[in-house]
Amino acid sequence: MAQFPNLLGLDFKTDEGAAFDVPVQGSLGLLALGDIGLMVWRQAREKARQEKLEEIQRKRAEREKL
Amino acid sequence: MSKKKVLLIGWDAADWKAINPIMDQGFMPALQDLVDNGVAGKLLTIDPPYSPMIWTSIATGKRPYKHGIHGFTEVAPDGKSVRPVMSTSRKVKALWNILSQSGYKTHVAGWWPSHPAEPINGIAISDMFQKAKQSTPGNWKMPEGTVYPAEYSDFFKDLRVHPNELTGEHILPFVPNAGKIDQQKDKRLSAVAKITSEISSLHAAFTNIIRTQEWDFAALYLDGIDHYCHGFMKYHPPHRPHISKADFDLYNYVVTAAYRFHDMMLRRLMELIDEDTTVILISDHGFQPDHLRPRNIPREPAGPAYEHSPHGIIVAKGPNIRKDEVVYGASVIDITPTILSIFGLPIAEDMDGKVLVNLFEEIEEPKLIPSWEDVEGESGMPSEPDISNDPDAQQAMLDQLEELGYIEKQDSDMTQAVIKTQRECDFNLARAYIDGGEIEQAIPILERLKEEMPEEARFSFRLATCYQMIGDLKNCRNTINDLRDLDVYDGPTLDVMEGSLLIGERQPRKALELFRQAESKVDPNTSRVSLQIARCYMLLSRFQDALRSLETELAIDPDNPTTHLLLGTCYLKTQEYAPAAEYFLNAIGLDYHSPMAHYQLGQTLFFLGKYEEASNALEVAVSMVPEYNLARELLVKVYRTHLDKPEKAAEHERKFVSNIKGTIYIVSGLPRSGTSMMMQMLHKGGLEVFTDGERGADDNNPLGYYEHEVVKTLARNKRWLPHAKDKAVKVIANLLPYLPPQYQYKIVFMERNLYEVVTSQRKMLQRMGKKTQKDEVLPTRLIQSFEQSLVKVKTWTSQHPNVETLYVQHKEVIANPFEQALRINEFLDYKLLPELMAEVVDSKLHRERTTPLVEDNS
Repeated sequence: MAQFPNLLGLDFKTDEGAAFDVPVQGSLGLLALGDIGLMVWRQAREKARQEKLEEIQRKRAEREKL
Repeated sequence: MSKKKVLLIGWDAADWKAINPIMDQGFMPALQDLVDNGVAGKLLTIDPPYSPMIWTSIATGKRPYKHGIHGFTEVAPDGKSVRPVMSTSRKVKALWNILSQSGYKTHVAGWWPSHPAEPINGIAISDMFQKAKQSTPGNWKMPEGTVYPAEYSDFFKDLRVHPNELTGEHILPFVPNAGKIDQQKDKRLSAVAKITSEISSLHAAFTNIIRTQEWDFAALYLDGIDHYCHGFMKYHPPHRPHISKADFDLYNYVVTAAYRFHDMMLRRLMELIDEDTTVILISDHGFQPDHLRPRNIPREPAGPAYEHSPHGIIVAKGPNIRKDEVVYGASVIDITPTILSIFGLPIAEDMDGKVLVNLFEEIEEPKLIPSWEDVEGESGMPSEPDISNDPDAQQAMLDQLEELGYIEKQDSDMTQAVIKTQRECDFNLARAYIDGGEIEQAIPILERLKEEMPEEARFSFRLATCYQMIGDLKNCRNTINDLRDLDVYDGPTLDVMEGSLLIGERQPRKALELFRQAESKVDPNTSRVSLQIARCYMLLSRFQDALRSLETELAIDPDNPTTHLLLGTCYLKTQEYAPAAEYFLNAIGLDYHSPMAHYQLGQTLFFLGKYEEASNALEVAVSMVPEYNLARELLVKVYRTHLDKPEKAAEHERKFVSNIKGTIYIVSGLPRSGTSMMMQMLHKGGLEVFTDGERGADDNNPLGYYEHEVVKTLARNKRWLPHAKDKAVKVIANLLPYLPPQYQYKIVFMERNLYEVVTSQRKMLQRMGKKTQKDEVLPTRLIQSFEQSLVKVKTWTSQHPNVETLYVQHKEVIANPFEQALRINEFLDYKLLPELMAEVVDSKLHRERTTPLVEDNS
């Protein structure tokens, strides 16, 4: 089975055609999208986690610099 | 030619009564689109309404006594433990096996039961896939055998959603005020999370399959609606007085949200299919959303199933599916034959279901084979009886079933657990036999269960019903009396039960008394007591009273087809044909598969002079029950006399004759016209007799009565007739018109001077100590009434091609027994020994002769 690519680059839109940012907290709508919705949510969550981690590391580095 | 594809979606417990108000608000657009552009209707369930049994019937086209799934759990093959039912418990091929061996790419996900996953021509994901009992997202194992092919296991494992992974964003749409809940005390939010995560897991796996794999057939089963409903339907609006207002305020949106979420998932599936795909969405049973849902769940195994309703849903849309139409008469057992027909594959004669032909714009006559079980090929049907033995996974499933209330708390004593489980499976098997009309198969099972567990009233209750259905009223009464002794059911419940028995015994007055007593004490929503009262009135020919009771019942449940059928019957009896036709049409709309409703509609249209429409209705009745000779008889008349279609009439006449199941020898006449004597003559002459010996010889009938109690129920109960085949049976003249046209009847009709008859009856009553008119008063009116009744009966006997009658004069038998015996023997195709027949006749028995015997003999 093919592994999932990075889905965060996909252009998700609402029914009204507006751009849709994948919420880190997830949504029923994403679960209803099935595998893609689940995976994009997890990737968004992971990205947010990484960003948080990087921010912590950056702040720690700044503190250490001081 | 485009490739045929079928997508089958199962929503456990989906119910139109719950869906329609939600859909009407625009909250289920995907389903609305299917309904508007396809065919929708009710899908009749089977009994018992237990999901693993029904979903297996859906997938096999066979009833449970053929497919082998008899409950939620079963005794393991070692005989020492209990396990959930599994794919290996199924004895016959499922749709995915048949399609696999026929070369179709086939995928199935989550079907109940489907573990271990079967090695089909595609991907199979078992019903253990989504269960997340006692784990965290980090240590969530997947039991061996969950995914086929096994090398895909790791991939699909990651598509599961653990309940702990969900956030408030997933829960708030179900419970908007979830933040107010103290989750340490109230665990209901975790139930919402668990159900939501489980269906999301299967949906994720399935969308991946149909998005990335080649496929011809794909099936997805979701149990979410059933589980949300068992937990939260009690809070679904309107608020019911016995429900706490605080709970109602918190949880009243769960069921609506559940349906909306399912619709969102459906929409995604619709995005993933092409125009060549036929979509079929079904549920196995409904779920009572209203006042018909029982307030209290019986404390018995699988008690929550009492909340189920008998009608699930079916919606279909596709290239050859009719548009914006309602489908009638669909049953869960029809799904497999229907899907096989879409693929142009033959239907097996050992399947119980039929092809739902009215789903399609065009359909070829389905091909038939005796059985798919004999067709060789790589079906993926597990050959090993038990390849899955993951005790942890099995325990997880058992725990879940226990949590849902579908099975009792597991007995720590395994020996007891095994006995209890086997007993439940046997009981379910008996119920399945009853539902399939195999009453004789159910009775020995229920008799054994009753003997083992006399205190278990539900066994006795079903047994009493079976006895009643086959006309064994004596055993039925004994069983009800045993129940009274047990003191398990309350008096009114037993009164209702006994009332039904009395209707069977055609004692409507007594029955009415009991129903009236019970009326104010039982729950009218579940007892159907108004319906029973109406039946009593109908038997008493009090049709206006019956109509009033039926209107009461209609107000309780406007969707009960029986109520509409009986309303139609009342109007038919009172010759008000327009309303009769309307109610029969309603009954058919609610339960299309009612041959009687079609027949009565045919009769009504006949009386309305709408012969073409009448023939259509009657044709439906005989297509459902080809042995329905009453309907055929009327069809012959309609075609021959009113529609000028003699070839059609001849065709039905031929079928009428071929339907005859055998011969029954009837001795008939008025009471005291010599019928007992004739019965004894036939018996002595060598013909087997159908009697129960209940009414022995007495002064009134020194030779004995040669009767069978069950014959008195002929007007209502015809199930005993197969037992009377090739035998002589005594049937009083007035009951003859109730003989069904499935048998050939040779009737020896005793005729006797009516003055003698009346005198003999009077003397008999006097001997029994009953009050009669004075001997010197000639009962002219009674004699006239007998005369009229005899004219009616003789007219009836002359009008039916399956009835032959020999009229025998009582005085001739007394006077010339041997001569008459010869005559009767000739009529009965020389089966008897006339010398022995004649020996029976004792002229001294002829006590009420009008003239001296000497003259008679002259």
